[in-house]
Amino acid sequence: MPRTLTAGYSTSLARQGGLPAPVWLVDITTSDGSTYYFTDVAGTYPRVSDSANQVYEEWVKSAGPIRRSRDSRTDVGDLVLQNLSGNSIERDLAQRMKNHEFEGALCVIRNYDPLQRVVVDRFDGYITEPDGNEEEFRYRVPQLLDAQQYDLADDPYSETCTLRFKSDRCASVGVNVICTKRFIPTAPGATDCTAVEHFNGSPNPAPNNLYQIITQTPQRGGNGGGNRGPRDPRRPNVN
Amino acid sequence: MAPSSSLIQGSATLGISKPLAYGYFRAVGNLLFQHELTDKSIIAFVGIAEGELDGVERFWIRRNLIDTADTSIFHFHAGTEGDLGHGLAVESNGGDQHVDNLFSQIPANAYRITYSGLGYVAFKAKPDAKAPSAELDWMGDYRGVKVRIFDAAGTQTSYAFSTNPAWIILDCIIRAALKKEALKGAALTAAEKARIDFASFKAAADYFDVDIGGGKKRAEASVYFTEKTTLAVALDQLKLISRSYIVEYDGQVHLFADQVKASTFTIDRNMVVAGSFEPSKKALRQAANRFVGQYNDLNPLKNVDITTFERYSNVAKYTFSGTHPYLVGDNFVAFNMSNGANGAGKVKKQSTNYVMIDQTGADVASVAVTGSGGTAESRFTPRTKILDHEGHQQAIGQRGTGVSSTFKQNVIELPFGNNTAERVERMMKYVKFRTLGDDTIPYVAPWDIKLRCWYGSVDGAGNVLLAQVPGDVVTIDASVSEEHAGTYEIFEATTIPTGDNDDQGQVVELVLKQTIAAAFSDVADTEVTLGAVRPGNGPYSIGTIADGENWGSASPGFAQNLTPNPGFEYPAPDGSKWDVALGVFSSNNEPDAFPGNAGKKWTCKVLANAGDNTRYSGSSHLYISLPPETTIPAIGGGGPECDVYLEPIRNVKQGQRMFYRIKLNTQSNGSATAGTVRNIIIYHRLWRTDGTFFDATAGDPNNLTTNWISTLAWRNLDLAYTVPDPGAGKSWDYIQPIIVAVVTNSTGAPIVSSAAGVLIFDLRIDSIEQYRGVDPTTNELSKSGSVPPSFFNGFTYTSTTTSITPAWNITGYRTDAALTQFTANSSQLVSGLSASTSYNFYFFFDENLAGVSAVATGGTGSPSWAHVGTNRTWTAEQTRQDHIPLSLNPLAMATTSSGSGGGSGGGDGGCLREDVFVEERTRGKIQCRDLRVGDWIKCGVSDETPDGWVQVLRAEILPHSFWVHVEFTDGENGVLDWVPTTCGHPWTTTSGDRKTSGETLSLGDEIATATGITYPVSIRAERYRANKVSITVASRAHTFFCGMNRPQIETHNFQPNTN
Repeated sequence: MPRTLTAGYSTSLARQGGLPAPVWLVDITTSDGSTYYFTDVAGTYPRVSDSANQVYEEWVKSAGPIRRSRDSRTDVGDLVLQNLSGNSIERDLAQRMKNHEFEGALCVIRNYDPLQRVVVDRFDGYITEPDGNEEEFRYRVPQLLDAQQYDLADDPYSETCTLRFKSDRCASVGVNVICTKRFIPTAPGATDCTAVEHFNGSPNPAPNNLYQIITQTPQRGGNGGGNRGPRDPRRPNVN
Repeated sequence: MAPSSSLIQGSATLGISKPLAYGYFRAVGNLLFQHELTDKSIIAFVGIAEGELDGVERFWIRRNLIDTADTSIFHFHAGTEGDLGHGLAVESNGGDQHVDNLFSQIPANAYRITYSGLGYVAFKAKPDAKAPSAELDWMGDYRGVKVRIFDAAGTQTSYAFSTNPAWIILDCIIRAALKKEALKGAALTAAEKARIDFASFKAAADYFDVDIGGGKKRAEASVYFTEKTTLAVALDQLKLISRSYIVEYDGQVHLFADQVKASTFTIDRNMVVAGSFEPSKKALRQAANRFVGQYNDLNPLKNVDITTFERYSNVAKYTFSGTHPYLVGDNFVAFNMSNGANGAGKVKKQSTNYVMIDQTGADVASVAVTGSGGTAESRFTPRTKILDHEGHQQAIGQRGTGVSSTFKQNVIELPFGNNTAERVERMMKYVKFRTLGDDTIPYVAPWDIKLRCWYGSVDGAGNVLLAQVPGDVVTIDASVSEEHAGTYEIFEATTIPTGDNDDQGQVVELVLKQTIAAAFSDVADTEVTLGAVRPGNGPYSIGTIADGENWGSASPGFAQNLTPNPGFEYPAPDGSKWDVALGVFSSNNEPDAFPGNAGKKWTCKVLANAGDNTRYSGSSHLYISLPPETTIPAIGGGGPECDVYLEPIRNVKQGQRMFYRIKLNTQSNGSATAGTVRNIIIYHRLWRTDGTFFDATAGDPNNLTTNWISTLAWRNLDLAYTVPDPGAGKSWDYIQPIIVAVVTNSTGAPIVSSAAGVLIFDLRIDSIEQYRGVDPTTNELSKSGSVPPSFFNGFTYTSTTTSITPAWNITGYRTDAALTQFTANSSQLVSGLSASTSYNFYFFFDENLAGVSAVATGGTGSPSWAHVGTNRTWTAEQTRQDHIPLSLNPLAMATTSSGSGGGSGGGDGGCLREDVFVEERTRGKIQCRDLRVGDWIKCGVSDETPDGWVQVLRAEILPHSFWVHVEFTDGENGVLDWVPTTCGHPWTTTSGDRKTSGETLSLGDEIATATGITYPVSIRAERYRANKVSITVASRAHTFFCGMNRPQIETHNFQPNTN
């Protein structure tokens, strides 16, 4: 079903013979709450959050292409911001990215018709893969509902609780600042679960010998012997 | 991460995911813990799925359908959050998330918890000597999680169970992304609601709910995700099931049902950027044209057509169009009844063409109906439906001068979760027609069109191009292309940044697909009768030891039973009558054979001690009544006789030992003369599969037991029995044990009932226990491990012009506690074959023979293992209950034209699951099922691949059912990534060693990643159905990067390229 446009906009589009050169408006909100407003044509425009007028900085070098499809691929756009303003020691954009994490920031890219003062297109996404140099930073902006990034049935059976401490489902309101995620309500001096009715672990042992579970055990030997269990990744030898 | 296709999840371990279930599903679940009591009862707590589940429909313990309302043995907890502040008192019989009462029967130092948020069952399994297996097993049918339901304005109208795909899709989005940590059923905030276009969801929900005829909704979804699954995979499956698509624009998520749509924009030549119009069929050759729908049937398998229905006194009678397979005690289900009289219950009475079950309801006179009969256990049977696009198959088949065109099948499996046959067929037609167009001869495939248009274009009707979104239908005007004018759907739309084209103004690049109206047909299919067969080894029923309640003799009839002739009826001494819990007799005695009583009938019935019939215990009375003035002559005089037909024992085989213990005594009502002897005979009627039977008779001490009971004391009769040879070319179907009670006068004087009174002989049956293959004289109820092979290495063969000799070397693991390893290493000469002929072999592991064999039915040669062509009955025999198939498809082996030859087959190849990600040079991160020949995928840098890209030479998709999941470490950060592969999938370690997933890969092996190295931390075997992709790349290293999170784990291709 086609999008609903501002009343009368189709008539004015027909009258003016198509879209004028667009103004790209980019509203970025990082996870710490900081919000930045960028455009490719400096000016004051209505911002996304409350439609109030906002001065937008002229940092957008390009916005797009923005690809949308009806299949399961993630819609995605590209965004390039200039990294020249500031001084030779600290550039404005680099400084902001130094102080605030842009990965995962909410990013709303709007295509704005300056003549009619109408938003003709809007793409809501999140910032990822920041990559830049001394002149510009490039970002990928996948759609907000990037279904590849989210999982279902991802809560494991565990002897410990899997809930985030003091989240709604945890429901703990105690004074502790951390949680051991264990269920030991009778342990003396324990600082364990304080919302025991919401504990979602399974501390009673499962008789896993009843079913066939094939899992190999760590092997010994190899270079220098010792336990060659998991260790940190390092560069591969691909030669 | 697989779409929902798992029928049953059975496990007992931590670390696996809590499943997520929508709609109806069958599950075993994850055994949280179990505790054995001193009386050998076992208390078990089993996790089913994330909450909040709606409820349990049926539950079997040791394959016996139990009463889920019996709180002494079964508690269901839906998986709400625990009741904060309520405490952990042991008090719950289910229905809430308090601490379960069965904790009170296990040691106090077990942790008594609520399992907050987890749907689980707690049950108590008593020892059951009659169970088919000594192992504790269980299974349940459930209704999945409740979901939020909204109106078009976004107001939540309910929080309830639903099979509507729209609300399930919305719940997936809420559960995975929008409100992941929320309490069960928590309301959405205004900001969260603003992310959803509720009008589109409500419209889609209404569209799915439409009755397309026969009470069938257009779309329903029942899916059961048993492992961690990306939201993308889940939504893909749900969109497939519901024929819908999701688009996100203007900050909102929209759901649209795919349907015939009117064009909303017309593109003419003035709107098209010059030279940008590109019609294409580049993707046509690789497109799938054989669609294999995989689903678990929500309906019982239809065995027989129901033609007549009647009901009296809360007993329903279903009459069939022909013979049926049901026996007394089966859990019969009537469905798709045209008069709405769907029903389910244990068969109380059956005859050649009807069954009777308890069914509450008003009396209904006999009425003609249409309907289907099945069993409760046959629900959720995995089924496959195949749909071919023959036009496309012919189009891409082999060609040659003078050679007839052949048909080439590109197979794709489509997961439909738990569904119905007719719905699967409709949705498969949607995929078939939408992707390939009408299946006509001559076949002309639909075009894909790519073109660039001015974004601000307005057509003659005032429609604006920039308002069109993917999924909308547009018209290409003849001024753009005479050949390609018509309606198309926008498949993809890409806005091009200003300055990225040479033209003035904004441009959008559209990818269009031709619309095919046939894709949206809602013509419902009819349910297919699969055949009146009885499943072996399935859930069995207890509680009925005989056939019906005084159903009459020569011609048992419905009316006769509901309105017994008072002249034939005598009350029991305790005044009760027709109070049957254990069941009674299938026939009355034969009065005519009794001297002096021609024309008179005898009434016999068994009265149960209600409340404990699950083990046939309690005193059940078998009354044999003598009408007034009846005489039983002196010694030698035959008396009245009653036959009690016990529950049939199924799946019996020659040589199997059967055991019975019957506890009984006999009494009379006091009128009987002391010293009267009652004769009890127990014999076995063995029914062959061809419908004939054999009565084990006197002369065989194993088969006949006669007991003269002359005391009033309770006593046990222990009987042993060996199933005999059924005869040449025949096989046993089931055994029907029969108790024959005969009142025989062994005294020296006649026994005469008085003129006014009734002489009643009272045979009391306390318990009847049936054992299969175990010795009731010991406490030992053991069973050897069954033989599901974990691995097999495939087959090889040698051949001559007249013979083929297959050879195998198989390694497998039994499911006993020790996971005993076994091997089968042998060969078999098959002679008498024709030269230069390819034969198909259907190999399986025979549970009875404990060795490898092959289907002989319909074959040629000696033994007749070699088959010409394929036949689904051969596949059925290969996969029957006591056979474990050793190949997904028959293995082809050929004789030579001269001399000798050979080959190999079986094994599972080296492939990745189709949803593993790789990185393609131009398309980015894609799943490997989307790879095409000629694509370039990311690999390590080497002399041959200096840019880190390697070209794909081959990518073939095939179905597969045995997988190995390999997880890789990220150091202290946990799991870096994981890869599902086939068992034989190769890896190359950084030291150059070649390993395979299921055999030689170990936790110490260094595997290269895109940025370093990693190690496997878990290698786990899984059995489920999914597609594998076999990839060959163009480098001598044969490696590329893959992963379920991102393409980063270096793996090896299937078939090394030797170029």
